[in-house]
Amino acid sequence: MIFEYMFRLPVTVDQAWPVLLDVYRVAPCMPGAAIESGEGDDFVGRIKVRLGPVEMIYRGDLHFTHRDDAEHELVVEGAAKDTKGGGGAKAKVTLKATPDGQDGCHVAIHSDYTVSGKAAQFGRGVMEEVGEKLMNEFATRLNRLILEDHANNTQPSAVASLQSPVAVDSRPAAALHDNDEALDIGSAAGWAVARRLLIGGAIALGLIGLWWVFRS
Amino acid sequence: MDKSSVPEIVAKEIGRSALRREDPAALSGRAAYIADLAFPDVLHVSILRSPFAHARITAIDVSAARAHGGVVQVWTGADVLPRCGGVMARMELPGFVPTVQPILAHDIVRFVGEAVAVVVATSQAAAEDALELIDVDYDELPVVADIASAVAAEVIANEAVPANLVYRGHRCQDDVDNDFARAACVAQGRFSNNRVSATPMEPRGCIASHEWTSGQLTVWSATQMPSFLKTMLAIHLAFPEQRIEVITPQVGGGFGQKAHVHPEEILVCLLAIELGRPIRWIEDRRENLLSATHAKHQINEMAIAVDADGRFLAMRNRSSTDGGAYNCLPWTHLVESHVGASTLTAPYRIANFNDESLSLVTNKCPIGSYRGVGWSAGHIARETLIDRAGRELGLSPFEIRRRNLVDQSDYPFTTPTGLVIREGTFVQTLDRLEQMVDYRSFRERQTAALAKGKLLGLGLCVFNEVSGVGTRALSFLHTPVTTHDTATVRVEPTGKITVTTPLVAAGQGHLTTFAQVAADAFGVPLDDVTVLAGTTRNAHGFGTVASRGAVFGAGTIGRAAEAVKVKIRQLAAHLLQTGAERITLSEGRVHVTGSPEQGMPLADLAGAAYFADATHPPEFDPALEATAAFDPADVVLANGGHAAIVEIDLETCLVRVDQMFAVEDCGKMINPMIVEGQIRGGIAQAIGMTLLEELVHDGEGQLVTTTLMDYLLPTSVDVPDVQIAHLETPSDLVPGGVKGMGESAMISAPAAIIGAVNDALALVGASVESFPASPQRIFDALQRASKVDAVPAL
Repeated sequence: MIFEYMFRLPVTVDQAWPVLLDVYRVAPCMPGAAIESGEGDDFVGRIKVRLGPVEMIYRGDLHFTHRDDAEHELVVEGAAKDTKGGGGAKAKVTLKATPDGQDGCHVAIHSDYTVSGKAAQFGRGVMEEVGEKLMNEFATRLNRLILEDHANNTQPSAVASLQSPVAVDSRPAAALHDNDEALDIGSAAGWAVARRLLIGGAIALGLIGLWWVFRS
Repeated sequence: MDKSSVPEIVAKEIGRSALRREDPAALSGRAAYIADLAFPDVLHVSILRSPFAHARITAIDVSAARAHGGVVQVWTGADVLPRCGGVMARMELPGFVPTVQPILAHDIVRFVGEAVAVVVATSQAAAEDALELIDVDYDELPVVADIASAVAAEVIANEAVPANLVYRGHRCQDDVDNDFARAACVAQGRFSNNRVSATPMEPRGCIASHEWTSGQLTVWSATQMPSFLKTMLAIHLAFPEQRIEVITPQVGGGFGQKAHVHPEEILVCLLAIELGRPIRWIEDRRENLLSATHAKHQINEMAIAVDADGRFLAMRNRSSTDGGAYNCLPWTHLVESHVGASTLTAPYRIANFNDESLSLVTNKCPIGSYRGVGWSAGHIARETLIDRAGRELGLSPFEIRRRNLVDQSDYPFTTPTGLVIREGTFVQTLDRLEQMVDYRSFRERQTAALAKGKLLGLGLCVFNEVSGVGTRALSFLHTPVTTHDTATVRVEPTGKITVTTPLVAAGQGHLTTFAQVAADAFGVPLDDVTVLAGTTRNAHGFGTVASRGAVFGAGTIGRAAEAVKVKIRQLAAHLLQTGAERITLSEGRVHVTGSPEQGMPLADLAGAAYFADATHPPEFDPALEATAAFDPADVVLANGGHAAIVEIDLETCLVRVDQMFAVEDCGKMINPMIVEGQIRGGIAQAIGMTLLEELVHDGEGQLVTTTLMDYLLPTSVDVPDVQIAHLETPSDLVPGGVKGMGESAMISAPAAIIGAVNDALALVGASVESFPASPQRIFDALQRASKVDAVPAL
């Protein structure tokens, strides 16, 4: 299945790009997501998804297969498994940042994904609906991060290494602590979830976020 | 007297809408369903199910689950395999490919929801928590997710089945090319029927207890086939059958889904034997939708050739069943297209028929029986095409059918598939439906509505039902299985009647209707009869399936009662000093025929049999008890028809069923109220199947409708009042003249509803051939409409 999303960041492509590559800082922008470890182009991460009393933890690998700093485009492939035996998800996510003609940039996300088990079974019909809400939240947080970054004018700490010799593991404290927050589908999906149990969508969504979380 | 003999029963209680004896318990909440049963020391089961449609299990780690508090046992396929090789399902037909469904998958999973591991724990919560600790590694395999890829066979869904083909059937190979060449009108289509679930309100469940001191295995199961389950358990567990008892508590609906031997039932018994404690498995709705048999998933590519007078010349059909990963036991994949082909041309005079049915393996939950079985989908295709031909030839839907229905003058009429129609009221059914619908005024209403931008449609279907399915019927359906049921009837010392039956009461009112039959068999008041059911200790039977209850209940009870009445007549004749052939039982008395005063109360005669040796004639056997089998001598054919009027909302594309009409001829009705209840319930399911329900799989074979928020069942607001009329052609094959009718509404009402939808869509030059006729499909159909200017709103 395909999921597409686009949002705007209030900084130029050149300013946004290094931050977008900073896996460890971007990951927490996705509610419930965290990176456990990483080396080179490969990262291990997880995302916790909660729907009411049901909690699922998806853990998996992300691999950056393509990164073009000139075109500001990257591709990441990921596969995650529900740690509680409920199935998993796979995704290939392409992210591309382009100037918006003013002083900001557009970030376009294209995700081709499959989900299995519980994630697939809990009402995929509203996945896009939920996905959009989650990505809204993600974009909001990323926006905040970028503005902070811009204000501090700090350098990104760790970026995916495709084409770069070393991934520097100098994670800021904020990303080091275990992100115990869970992606709460109930609150993310609002009425859509009230209407139908939404776990699945969230997961895939989470996954998408994940990649992008790990997006280099 | 062979098993098909038909003793006379004079109807008195039969034919009366006696209130159902089951209702006080059901309505007061005192009825005990399987989940209500409490056992000390019981252990609870939770089953890990495959998240993949097709994958190789490369590793399973159950150590964390075993260590979890409250967990008593964890099994994987490797643990179960030495104990039971799996559910074996075959049909004795040349070329049929049998399958074995593992109790727990041991190397490859073949559908989402297939059982992979089981946790047994002291509480359900502990079992479910521990289940999450099982770590399974899967290597995904290519998936056969639909009929097209099953036919292509580039991927094999189950390596036991070459080319994904369980069976290729041909009922008729008539040469129809000439008929199609000379036809004035050829109507054809490709009809994709949806995969649905019978969705009984009570999901499946099973409790087993093994008493090591006696070696007794007691199994409580919400099954429709307790005797069959008992025998299959004995075979699959290599367990002595005489020490197995299967008990059916109150069963909360089955509709065919509980007419199988499920792997879980075998698993629960294995665990009970292994652990020496009662084992309880009660599935939830998600589990039910994932792994209890699905149904109705066929594609029918059908064509009919019609001459200029609207007379049918020939029919061609190729029906493909998306059968899932394994054959179900006992019906196998053949329960859909293969069985459906048997009555595709009936009840019309269609001389030539050429068909093929493919039963295909896919990586989905196995297909199984559901009310109306393989007939529902084919009837939708047939009746839709008849309507199309009628429109093309300018004939009303009633007229084109009237010109083709088998009529009394044709009897006996043999259909191309060899069904001999000796009786039935097809034309009368059609006439009655036309009156009920008030056809002319409907067309006026339809035209008026169109002017206001509303699409009204009328659809109908006339059918015959192979009911009371016994050995002859199964043979006709080319699913060769010998079946009979038994009943035991006892006249108690005080003259009261006790009947024991193997037929399971799952809401059909058997305890009431069978009492009506027994009351009339002995000529006693209804209150003098009690019917016992619910355990295999009682009697033997094939099961409450295939519209068998009324036929086999009346047949077995009628025959057993007759055997007891021989004794009663013998004793009475001795006491009344007359011939046994002159003795009659009526009004609670045993008397000389025609002279009720010359006799005695049945209670007095029973008392004499039990307690007064001096009254007995020489060599008298005083056992006023008999067990008898029944299996009808031929196919018991019921018939009837349905009509539907629907309205399509052009704004929402929702279809609303405004009116439903049913005409039923099921011979002599035992209890008209219960017959009408069966009709109403079946129509509700027909509305669900045609307009709402769909088990949706994605391209990877993932079921994405696993809750009742996604799998849409009809509610009372979706089902209109149903107008019902009865015709009555008593059967001479069954005591009391009764016929079966439980499945009728799901055979024929779906076709009427889809016919109505397509009648409405025809107003704008559109049609649907994929179901259910959901708002999305209606919307899509309207986008392709060729006469959009017919409705201003479009």
